[in-house]
Amino acid sequence: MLGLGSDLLWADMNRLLRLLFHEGVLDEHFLQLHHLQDESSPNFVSEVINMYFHESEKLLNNLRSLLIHTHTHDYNKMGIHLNQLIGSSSSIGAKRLTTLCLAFRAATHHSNRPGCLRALEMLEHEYCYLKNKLHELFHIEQQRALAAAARYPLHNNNQ
Amino acid sequence: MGLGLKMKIQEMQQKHHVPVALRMHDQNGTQKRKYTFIQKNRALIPLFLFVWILVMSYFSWFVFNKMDADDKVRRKEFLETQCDQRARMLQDQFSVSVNHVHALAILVSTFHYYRHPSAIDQGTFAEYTARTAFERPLLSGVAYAQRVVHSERETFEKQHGWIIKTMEREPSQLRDEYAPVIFAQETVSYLESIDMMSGKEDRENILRARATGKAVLTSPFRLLGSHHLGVVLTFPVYKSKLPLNPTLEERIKATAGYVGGSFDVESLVENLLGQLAGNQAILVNVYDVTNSSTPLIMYGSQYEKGDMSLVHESKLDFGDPYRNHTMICRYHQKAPTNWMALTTVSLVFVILLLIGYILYGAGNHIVKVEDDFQEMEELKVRAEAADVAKSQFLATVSHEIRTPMNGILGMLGLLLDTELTSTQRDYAQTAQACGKALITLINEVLDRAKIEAGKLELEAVPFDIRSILDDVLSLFSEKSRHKGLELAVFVSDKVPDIVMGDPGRFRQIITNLVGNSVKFTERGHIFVKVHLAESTKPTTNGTCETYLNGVTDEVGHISGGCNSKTLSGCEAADERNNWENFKHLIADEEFLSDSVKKVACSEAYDQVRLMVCVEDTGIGIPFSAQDRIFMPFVQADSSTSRHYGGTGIGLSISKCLVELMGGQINFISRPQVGSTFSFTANFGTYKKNLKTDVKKLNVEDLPSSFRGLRAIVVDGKPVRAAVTRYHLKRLGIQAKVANHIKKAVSLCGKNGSLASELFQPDIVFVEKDSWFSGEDGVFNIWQLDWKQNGHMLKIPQMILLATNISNGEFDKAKATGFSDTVIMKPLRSSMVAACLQQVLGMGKKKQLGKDMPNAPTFLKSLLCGKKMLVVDDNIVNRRVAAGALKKFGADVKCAESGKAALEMLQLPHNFDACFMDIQMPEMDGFEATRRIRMMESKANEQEMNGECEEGKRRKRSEHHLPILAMTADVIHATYEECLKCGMDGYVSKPFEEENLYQAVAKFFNSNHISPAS
Repeated sequence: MLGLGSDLLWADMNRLLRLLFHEGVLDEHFLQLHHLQDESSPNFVSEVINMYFHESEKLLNNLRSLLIHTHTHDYNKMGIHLNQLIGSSSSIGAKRLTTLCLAFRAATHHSNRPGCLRALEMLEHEYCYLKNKLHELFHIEQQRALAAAARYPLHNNNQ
Repeated sequence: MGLGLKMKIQEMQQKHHVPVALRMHDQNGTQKRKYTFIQKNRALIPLFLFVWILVMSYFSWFVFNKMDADDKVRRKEFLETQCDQRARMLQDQFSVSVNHVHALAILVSTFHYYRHPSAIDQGTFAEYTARTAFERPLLSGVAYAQRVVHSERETFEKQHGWIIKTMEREPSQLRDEYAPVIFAQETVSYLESIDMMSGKEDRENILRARATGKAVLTSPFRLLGSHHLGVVLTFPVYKSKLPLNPTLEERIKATAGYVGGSFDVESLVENLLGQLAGNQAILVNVYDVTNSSTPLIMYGSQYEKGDMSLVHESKLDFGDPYRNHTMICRYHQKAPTNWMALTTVSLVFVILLLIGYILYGAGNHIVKVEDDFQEMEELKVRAEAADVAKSQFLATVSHEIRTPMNGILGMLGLLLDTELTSTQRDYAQTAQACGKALITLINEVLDRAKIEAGKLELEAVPFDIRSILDDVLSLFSEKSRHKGLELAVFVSDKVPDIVMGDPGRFRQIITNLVGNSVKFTERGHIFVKVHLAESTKPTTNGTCETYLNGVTDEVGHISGGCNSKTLSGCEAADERNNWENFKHLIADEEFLSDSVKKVACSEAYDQVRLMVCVEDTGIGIPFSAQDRIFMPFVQADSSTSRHYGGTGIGLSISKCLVELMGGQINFISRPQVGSTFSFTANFGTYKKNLKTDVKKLNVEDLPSSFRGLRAIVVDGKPVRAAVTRYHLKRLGIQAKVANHIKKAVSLCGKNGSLASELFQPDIVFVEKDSWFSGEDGVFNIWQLDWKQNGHMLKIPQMILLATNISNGEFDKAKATGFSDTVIMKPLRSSMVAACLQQVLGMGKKKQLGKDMPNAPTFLKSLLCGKKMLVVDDNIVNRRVAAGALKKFGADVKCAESGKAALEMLQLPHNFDACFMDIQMPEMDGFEATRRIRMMESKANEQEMNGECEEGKRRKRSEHHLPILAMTADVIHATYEECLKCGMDGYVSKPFEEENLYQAVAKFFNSNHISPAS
């Protein structure tokens, strides 16, 4: 029963991943991240992703405050923040977020405030989406890990 | 994803379009400056023509006037000289006559008055005058009139017997004086007795002559006898001698009479002019201008037409100071139009006009050409820009397609790992295969774009051609076996073991050609042959011969369906690879022992030129398509792609690559018979002195344990046998060829033969075809022989060579006595070696397969235990990078800024490498690297100084920490900048294994492994 659950959860995860890949939210770097996880660092992926969300949250807040709350729009500073965001996003393979950041950066280059605002809005939306989806994914993964742990050793080998 | 692609392209365009546009702008700017003088003043060209015509017409007009004026002057001068000449002549003649009349007067005074009685009477006078008339050609006649005073009239009349008459022939009236003619020349005899004083003109004349004592002329009048105009000349005759300066009265008193003569001026002038040349052209008028207001005409008509514009007047002096005469000359006709000048000038004008027009045309032409040139330049710039844009677009798009394709392939890989039904698996596998094909295509397109942009550079590293060919063969072995094709490779012994070149590209060409051959061949064989290009020369003669007399033979072969001369027996398009020629090649090599030759080849030249032939017996290329087979994206037939797939870009890339290698590619193909592609390429020879690199080469280590073994190859097809022999030779096995089993048996020798002379094989390779064609019995007999006669030391191993073999056949072979292992074709030396090891029971199985490390394990071996520093301000990136490196066994430390990194890298440190992010706040990667390098060089210098004291420390290599840049940008310029500031390599972020492997291998391999080994 538990083994079956694990399989189902596998399928769920794959479906979710497929969806995210299909939508272009994620790219192969996300998978590579998974490759990096092994016995020595069992929680590598979730650790990195959490770090990412933590960092990104700060960056997004900074961006928002720079763009909305101050009257002197420091586009250079925004660019630096965006570069950071781009770097970390591409590292974890958040493809769509990276793309949006690129667009945002282009807008800051042109000092295009409406464009920046629009980009920020999209970015935040995308960020929320990614966060939700990845949480969902990790949730499933956790469940799967639990389920897998309960499996018979024989099955586990086959996996 | 689509959005991302678009964004990136836009970004690219923004980045690359700007410089292009700028350049265009620059070009425009310079173009304006580049306008030549003539282009700038193009509007002036018609004006120039107009001005030219004006100036030239003025000039012509000037020349014409000048010529005309010259002509007029000449005409005038001519008239003057003519006129003067005439006047002078007339004057001379006249004065001669006057002188004569003077003489006559003296004669009369001498003989009539000073003699008594008079010696002259009428008769004498008439005769004398008549006889001297030639002296006075101008005078119509002369007469002498005596002065008779009225008182003497009567006596005079009586004495002469006639009365004095007037001009009107009437008796003269009473006067003071009379001057009757007493003597007259016969021509004017009618004057006798006529009183000359009765005519008004004559009277005046007489009075004036008497007063002056000189010859006196009348004004012109109509002469009595003729109707011509004339003048009368009168001379006084004095009775007594006059004092020196006589007064008027003395003269009158002394006057005895008058001699007169009439000049017929008209006929006179007429005669005179008649004697002169050119009298027709010149019109002469003679005037008496005594009364200057009313000149009297003496000669010529008053209203003569003539040319009134040009007149010359010459003075005439007839010896009478009282009267003035002039001669006026003019031309009969007006000056003729100066045709000469006119034609000359008009010709000159026309010529100048033409010159002007030519200049005008030339100017226009120059402007046009310059304009065209400029336009072409502009177009060229645009075309170049377009080309650059195209290449960039291709590169970008290919790159952009590759990224999602990797995602697709990765996901498909994941999908295949899951539990799928067979149908799903099939679908997924198909999708993966397609994806891989697409990636290959994109790589090819990229290659092509690179070649076109001239960005492809060939490496020059040492590599082993034979092992590369074996690799390629192994790629296709599955397919060829599946199709039942013979696939074989043969490399001439003359080809050096190791050559310098680009193995990757060489492999690409071979793979492409063999791939095509495999694709298009359904039966028969594919044969790859490599030899030195020079060694084809002696065999070309053979080729010609076979071609010449091979026409009928060929038909025979085709009808026979079997031609034993090629590898598989199927007919091939190119005869060069058949046995006849192949024999030469091998025979050639037999002469010299291979070691000598290889050395000779490799030492003698810096370069070898290899000739590679890939022969197949496929469908061939239709003649109509043969000339465009190397064009990109062109396949022989549009239906081809439907049947066989592929894009047709491979051959064009191969062609480019071959040309880059300094060779040529060409092919011979006959539809339904097959094609033979052959290309030449230049490779550098490998110098032995670079020993250290050998380890790095992908040289296959062939086991040497087979050296000295002997073998017999039983094969009915000589070419195939030669290939087998080639592979055996590489393993050090000496082989002989027998075309039939019986021959092999005879080679081994029968019972009772001397063993020493015979070839004693350790192994017998039997081609499957030969085995099945020969009777089974032979084998059994042979083996029996062997066993019964204990001559041989050991029984040779029998090994079957086969392209494919069924289970039944296998069992049968085993039963016949063949060993368990069947060597499956295509033959590869390493595979043959493995099989032999199996058969001969040599336990060296593990030796092979170790050489080709796959990237992850290799990376692991490279990075294991190495201490790495990852510098990145982004915590996520840092974590990921560290994770990735840890995965390969590296010991990773992190630094979050350039400054922190600098601190950690203070010498001495124990880091083996550093991964440096480029974009960091405060101190970016470039700056940090520069500082690190500065630090190192300082340390190196110090060490160098210190080295003098402790010489031993020299051993330690200089400080140089490998620094690899990490960046998300993959623009080439960034890479260059990385190198500029002292970085060693470049890894795109996020890490990809392949990329990381390449970058890391580059320096870890050379720096850390070679000293270790």
